[in-house]
Amino acid sequence: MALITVTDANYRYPSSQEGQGIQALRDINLEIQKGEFVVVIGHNGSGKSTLAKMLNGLLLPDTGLVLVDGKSTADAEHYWTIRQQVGMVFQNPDNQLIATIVEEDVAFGPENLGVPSAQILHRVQEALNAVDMLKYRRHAPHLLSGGQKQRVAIAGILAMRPRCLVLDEPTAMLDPRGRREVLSTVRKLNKQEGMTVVWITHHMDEAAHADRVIVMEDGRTVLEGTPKQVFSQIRLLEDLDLDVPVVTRLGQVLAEEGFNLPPDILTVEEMVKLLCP
Amino acid sequence: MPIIAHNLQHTYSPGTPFAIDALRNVSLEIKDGEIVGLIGHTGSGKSTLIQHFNGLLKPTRGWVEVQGINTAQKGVSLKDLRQKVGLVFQYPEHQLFEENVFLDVAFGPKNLGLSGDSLESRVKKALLSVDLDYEQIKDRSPFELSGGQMRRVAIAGVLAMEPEVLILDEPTAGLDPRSRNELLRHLRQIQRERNLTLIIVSHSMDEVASLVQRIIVMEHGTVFAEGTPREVFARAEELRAIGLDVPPLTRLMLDLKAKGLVVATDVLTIEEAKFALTLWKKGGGIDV
Repeated sequence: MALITVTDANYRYPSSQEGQGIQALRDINLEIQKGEFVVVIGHNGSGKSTLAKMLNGLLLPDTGLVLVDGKSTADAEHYWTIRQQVGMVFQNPDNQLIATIVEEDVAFGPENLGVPSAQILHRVQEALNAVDMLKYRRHAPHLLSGGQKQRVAIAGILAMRPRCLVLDEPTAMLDPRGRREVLSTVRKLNKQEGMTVVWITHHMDEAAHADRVIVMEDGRTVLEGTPKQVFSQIRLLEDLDLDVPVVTRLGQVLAEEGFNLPPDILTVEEMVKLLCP
Repeated sequence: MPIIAHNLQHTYSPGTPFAIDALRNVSLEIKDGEIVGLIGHTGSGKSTLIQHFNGLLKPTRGWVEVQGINTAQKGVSLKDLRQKVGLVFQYPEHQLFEENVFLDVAFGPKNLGLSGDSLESRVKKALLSVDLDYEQIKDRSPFELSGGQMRRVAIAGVLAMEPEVLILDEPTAGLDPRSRNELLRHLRQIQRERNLTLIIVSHSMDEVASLVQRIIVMEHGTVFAEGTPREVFARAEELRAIGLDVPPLTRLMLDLKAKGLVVATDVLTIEEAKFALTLWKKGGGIDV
């Protein structure tokens, strides 16, 4: 069974003035399987973040239905279960850390869930270990690097023992080193712990390792498939002003020149292997 | 007039246990009308360096001369300097504060003493430079614009000062691909039209490669490498050793060369990669 099911979801942001508001989601249908790594790409305003907020009931669809493990996000009875099960990480690490010591910050979630303190200690250690930040547990969050802060934010979610992580542009404010740290941490959680991941990004290279890529535009899902299926659609992605991995583009240009190369090369490593077998 | 840094040293919190040398003996020159990319990790000294260029920081040792003004000299007018050198910080849209776009962009020139028609024409010109329609946008609140538009309004606020040097710290961070490409296009055009000296701080080699004439790579407060994009990327191995990304096509050609293929490695564009690889294929490369 799918962990999260979105059926015919529509959402319109109410307007501050007399206008019509903004239709952010239009008839979205989506299933996210247990253990899947799904990447959502699309422009600002395409509906990515609205979709993310639907997945744990931060927003409720105007029409349609979102089910998490079979429970509707619109059902007030399940609010807390659903928010514990689907944890969210946002773009700006500075807005997500609240305590003055790393381990206190990570303990905030389980404390609010009423977890007994002996267990909290254990959970905090486990969560910090999972993001490789255990040795910073007594540090002050504001002195950490961006990538480290984001990993602490992720640990704060993990300490609530969620089944799914939804990350909304978690690397947008990080430098290349921080981006690599956060991506590899989340990939490890997915591969080793079977954590379900929904990863929202503008960076196409972060999508290359996903199980599935979803492209959104104007509140709709316009393209969906494995990274290879999606990125080989260069024409369509360019029409949407989205980036295509430069290696994929080179592969197609070379194919036109008579090279025997497939249209869906995503990484430099693949290309090297094909050119020097 | 050029920007010159001579044996520039900057120490934060000097004389305390927290003293950090953010810049060590940096000497460089940036010519009039040049487009320069400043690259390096967080903490490499990029941001410290650009703050010296408009006198926000003073050298601990050494000196900086910008548009003929030595920033450390007593009695020098920093106000003049800051009008000549426009600095756009990271996420400049966080600094928007006025109730409408006109007032926000007009804030700087108003402080320079402009008013009436000359003020309006400044604002108009600045907004036009970032491709925003003056009539359509002037009365709107900057806070109801899209992220890309907000950033362009913030940049217009600096352009309205008509600086001779424009410095942008990570101008495309956090923008989506469409807004990013638009902004880079605008910057290219602004530089050409106004013949500005343009300095762009970035983490991304790939991004600056297409825009700048010269790249300066900073590492641990020193200039690690310097030259045209082609010259700098030719040192890809060293750059990778300090954890910086090189453009994927350069990386591809280097990896192919390492596998024994006889190909050019100073490749920046798809066209160049195509040329290098077709040449290799014609020259009897194995049949792929």
